[in-house]
Amino acid sequence: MTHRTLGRILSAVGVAVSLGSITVAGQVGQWTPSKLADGQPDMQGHWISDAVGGAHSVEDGRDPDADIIQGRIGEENPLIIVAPPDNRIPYAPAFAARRQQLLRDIFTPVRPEHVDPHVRALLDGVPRNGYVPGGMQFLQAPGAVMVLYESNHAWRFIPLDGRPHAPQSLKLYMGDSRGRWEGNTLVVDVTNFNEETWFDSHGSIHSDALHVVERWALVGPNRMQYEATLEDPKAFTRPWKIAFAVNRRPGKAYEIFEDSRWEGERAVAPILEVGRKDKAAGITGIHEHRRGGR
Amino acid sequence: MTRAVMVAVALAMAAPAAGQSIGRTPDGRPDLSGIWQAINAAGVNIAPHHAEPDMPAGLGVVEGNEIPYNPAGAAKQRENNANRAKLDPVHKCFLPGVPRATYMGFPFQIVQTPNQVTILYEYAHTVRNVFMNSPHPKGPIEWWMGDSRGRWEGDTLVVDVVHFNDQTWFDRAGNHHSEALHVIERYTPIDRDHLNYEVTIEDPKVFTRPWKMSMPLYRRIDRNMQILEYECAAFEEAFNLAGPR
Repeated sequence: MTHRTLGRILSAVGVAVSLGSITVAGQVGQWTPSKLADGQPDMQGHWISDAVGGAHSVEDGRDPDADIIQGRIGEENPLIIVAPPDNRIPYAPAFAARRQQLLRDIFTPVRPEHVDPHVRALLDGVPRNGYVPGGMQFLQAPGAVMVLYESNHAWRFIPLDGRPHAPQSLKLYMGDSRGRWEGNTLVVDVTNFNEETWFDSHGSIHSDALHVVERWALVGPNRMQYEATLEDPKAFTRPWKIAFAVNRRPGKAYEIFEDSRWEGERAVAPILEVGRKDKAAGITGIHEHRRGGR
Repeated sequence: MTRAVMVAVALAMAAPAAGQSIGRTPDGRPDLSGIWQAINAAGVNIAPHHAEPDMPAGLGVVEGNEIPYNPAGAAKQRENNANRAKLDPVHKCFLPGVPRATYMGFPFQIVQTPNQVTILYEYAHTVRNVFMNSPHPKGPIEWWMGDSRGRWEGDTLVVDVVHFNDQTWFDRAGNHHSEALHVIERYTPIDRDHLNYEVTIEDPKVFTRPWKMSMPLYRRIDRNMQILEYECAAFEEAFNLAGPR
C-alpha cells in the first residue's frame, strides 16, 4: 500500500473516527498487544518508518537526483502528507515568503542557517526524527515511553502521568512531549518547539507556536500506523497531517550503534565555501527538483 | 578517600532521609530510575585543585588523590591543561565520554528495565544503553561513549565499559586516556535519593596501575524536574570553534 493510498484511507477513517464509529485499529483486525505491568500496551523493540528516504521533501517525496543514482526512476513516489489533499503545507503568506527565500538561500548558502539542520548534525525535531534515515527503539518504563532514535543519538522521554507541559517560554529542538494511551494508540502532545528545525531538507519551516499531536497506533505485532497533526497558527493557515507505517525491524538482538554525527561533521564548511563563491560570482537560483508531472 | 569513608560521608549528608529504604523494582532490584546529578568540582578537575577563573576549587574525587600516570601520560595531561581552551573536546561540543558525562555538571536520567538500563544525559543529548548480562561486541570499535554492559552484584549496578576512542577527557584539566580505556562503574543506592558512584579506570597505555574515583550522586527532587536540552552544536561559538576541520 502506498502512502498516498494509505492517506486516502486514513482520511476516510479520520471522518469515521470523528463520527465516533470506528477506530484505525478496528479497521485492521482484532490483534491485541500484550500489556506491561503498569497496563501499557507493549510497544517495545526496534522499529523503522516506511517513510525513511521518501521524505526528502515532505511535499514532493524522494530526491529525484538520488533516484537517478539509485536507479529508481519511474518508481512510485509516495508522499507522507495526507491532508490537505494537494499535499502542500498550508503556509500563511509571511511564512510562504520566508520559505521561498530560504529555498533561494539553500541554493547559495552563505550562513549556517541556510544549511539543512540535519546536515549540521542538529536535532531533527518532531516529527522529522521519525523519518530521517535510521530506526528507533521504543523502551517503556512504568508511566513513561522513551523513543531512542538511531540518527544522531536523539531521544525523547515521554511521561504518561498527566503532568503539565514545561513553561511556554522554554524552547526545545525536540519539543516537550506528554503522552497518554487511547486503547492501543499512544497519543503524544508535543509543544515548546524552537524555530530551528525543518520538516525536511527543503526548508519546510515552522514557528515556535508549532503544536504536534502524534498518534502511534499499534495495528499488528510488527506494525504501527503513525499519524501526526501539525498546527501552527503563526506559520500555517490550518492544521495539516502526515501519516506513514512503522515496521518492526526484522531479526533478533538488534542494538543501536553510536551515531556521533556532530563529531564527524565535515560537510557544512565546504557547502558554505561553494555557496559564498557562487553568491560572490552573482549566481542565484532556487533549490528545487525538476520532476515530471509537477 | 576510601569507598567506605565516602559512603559514610554521603550517608551523613543524607541524614534527613536516613531510615528511608531504597525503592525496588518488581524483580527485586534496587530502583535506580530517576534524575540524578553530581555536586562537586570533578568536572573542573578530578584531582584536588585550587580555584582558577571560572573554575571552582575542589578536594578531588580520586582515591589517594594521585592519578598514576606513566611519564608520557603525565606530560600529555600538562600539555592538555595548558591548551585546554583549544583542546578540550567538550569545548567542541563532542560527546563527553565515560565517566565525564556523569559529573560534568548536567543532570541525567536513569531509565531502568530488566534487560536494558538507558541513561539520558542533558549535555548534547548524549545517551548510553547499558545492556544487562550480555557480552561486549567483538572489537575493535572506537565509540565516544564506549560499549556498556551491566550486571547486578547484590544491590550494586556494575557497568563494564570498553570500546572507547582516545578523544575524550575526564575533566577540563586535560586528564585523559587512550583507546585501551576500560571503565567499571558501580552504582550503589545509599537511600532513596542518594547513590554512591564508584569508578575504576584501567588503561595500561597511560596509567601504571588501575585507579578509582568515587562520589555521591543526588536525586533531583525539584518539582516537575525533567531533562532539558543543551544542544551544544547549535551554539554559534561551538560552530566557530569546531570550525574548519
